[in-house]
This record gives sequence, C-alpha cells and structure tokens, in this order.
Amino acid sequence: MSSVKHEAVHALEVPTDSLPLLLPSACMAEVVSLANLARVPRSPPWLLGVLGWRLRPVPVVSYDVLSGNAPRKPGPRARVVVLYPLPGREKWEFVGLLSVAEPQSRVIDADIASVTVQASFHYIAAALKIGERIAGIPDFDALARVLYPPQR
Amino acid sequence: MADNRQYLRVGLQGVDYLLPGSASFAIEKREHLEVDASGGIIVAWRVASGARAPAYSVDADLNPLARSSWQRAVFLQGDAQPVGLIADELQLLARDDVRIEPFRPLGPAATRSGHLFGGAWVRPGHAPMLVFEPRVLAEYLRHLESPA
Repeated sequence: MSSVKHEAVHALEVPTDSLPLLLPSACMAEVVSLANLARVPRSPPWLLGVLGWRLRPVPVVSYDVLSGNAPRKPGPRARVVVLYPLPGREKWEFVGLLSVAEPQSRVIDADIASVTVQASFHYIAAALKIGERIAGIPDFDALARVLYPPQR
Repeated sequence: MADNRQYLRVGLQGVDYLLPGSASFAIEKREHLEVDASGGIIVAWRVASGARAPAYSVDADLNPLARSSWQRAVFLQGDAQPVGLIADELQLLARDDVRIEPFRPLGPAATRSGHLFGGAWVRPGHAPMLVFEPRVLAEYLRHLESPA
C-alpha cells in the first residue's frame, strides 16, 4: 500500500481590490513600500510605473487593472511585492506586484480546498479557499505572455 | 557634439529622462532654429546645408504639446533624417556620475522598432530616471508627424 505525503507550502497572500493573490514565497524577493515611481510613457495602464529597488529599476504592475478594472490611486497602506524574474527572463527582470495592503504569510496544506473562480478573474491558474476568503494563484505563463509580448 | 561617454539629462515638463551620448546628439539654441508658427506639432526647424530637420514639442508623457516659450532643442543625428526634441532642461552628465541598469518596459512596444526605453538610473530617494533608446525615440517623434 502506498501513501502520498503532502508537504505544506509557504505562500504570501497579496490583497488586491478584486481577488487576493496567493504567491509561493519562493518567487518573492521582498515586500517594500510604494514610493517614487517613475511613469513609463506610452505603456499600458496596468504598468503603474518603475520603482527603484536595491538600485535596480523594477516595473510595478496592478493585477486589478490587468484584470480589466479601472485604475485606482494606491492608498497609504499599499506595498509592492518584488517578484524574482519569471522563467525564461533575464536575471535583472524583477517585477513588482501592487498589494493594496501588507501581504500576509500563509501555510498551504492539504486541508485547504481548491475552488473555482469566475472567468472574469484573468491570469488565474487555480483558486483556494482560505477560511472565508478565496485567493487566486496566478498563471505565470499567461502573465509572462502579457507582460512580455513578442515584438511586432 | 556629445562625447559617447556622456549622458544628456532631458527635462520635459518636470520629468527627467536620459539620452546616451552614443546617440550622437547636438544641442541647438532657439535663435539658431527657424521657428514654425503654424501651430502644428513641429515647432521649429534646423536648417543646415540645405536640409531641414524638424523639432517636436512633447510633454512628460511624450504627447504632443503646443508651446511657444522654449529655448533649446536636442537633435538626434544618428539617422539620415535627424529629428529634434524641444526640452525644458538639458544637462550633460559624465558617465562616471551615472549608473545605468538594464530596463525593459512591460507590455507592447510603443513603436515598430521596439520600446522607447532601454535602461534606467536609480538613485536612493528618487524616482528612477529612464534612458531613451535614441533610434526608437527618433522613430516615435517622426511618427507624431503622421496623422493617426
């Protein structure tokens, strides 16, 4: 008789104005304050600007706007979750994800139920029910296609 | 003519950008240009050796901007067709004073030639200063001339 051992995964719950996101802690470099963004002319509205992080320029993305919601001015509790470069990208291509409040650490184990979410939540690979809340796990392949589209 | 070890800080409506010296640029004062009062997006022309090069006025978001009070323009001379940009401030910076990190804007490129920016200078306590891709900027400015 065989048994499958389910190991707990450490994750970060990132609050947004729509669906909270659940990110594996291993893909996160740091959580920092949102300050002094440089605007990027002629860029899509979901690219909020460029943050200086450890003397590197890091583009900051709003998942809410990426999902089709209207842009909102980030509040004083907003943070930026700096993510390591997505697979296949250059080692300097860190990406910042806007969090509307301080992200929270979570431990995801086998007891947490998988649920389905509305199709209107884009770029979501799966969703989990954490207590009374539903959080989406980003589809990083889909995100990479929109963040780094092929050149014309 | 710029030294290719320098950067040029270009102030547009309170926002600073950088042009690498490798772009081969030239700064021209207003009195050396032919002002275009037609009210279009070209606000001046540089006339040299019988050739005319347009100078465009844009705001901090690189949208066309009508203005009459300006003093200087920087001309990108890398291509066969030089193109100018009216600037509020221009300052040459030594390469040793500037540390440029690679940067690629996300999403679709602004022009068929690629993204407008290819680097950034990050200083503690300041917003990053984006570095223009000169060839792409020149194409972008020329495209402003075309009707949408």
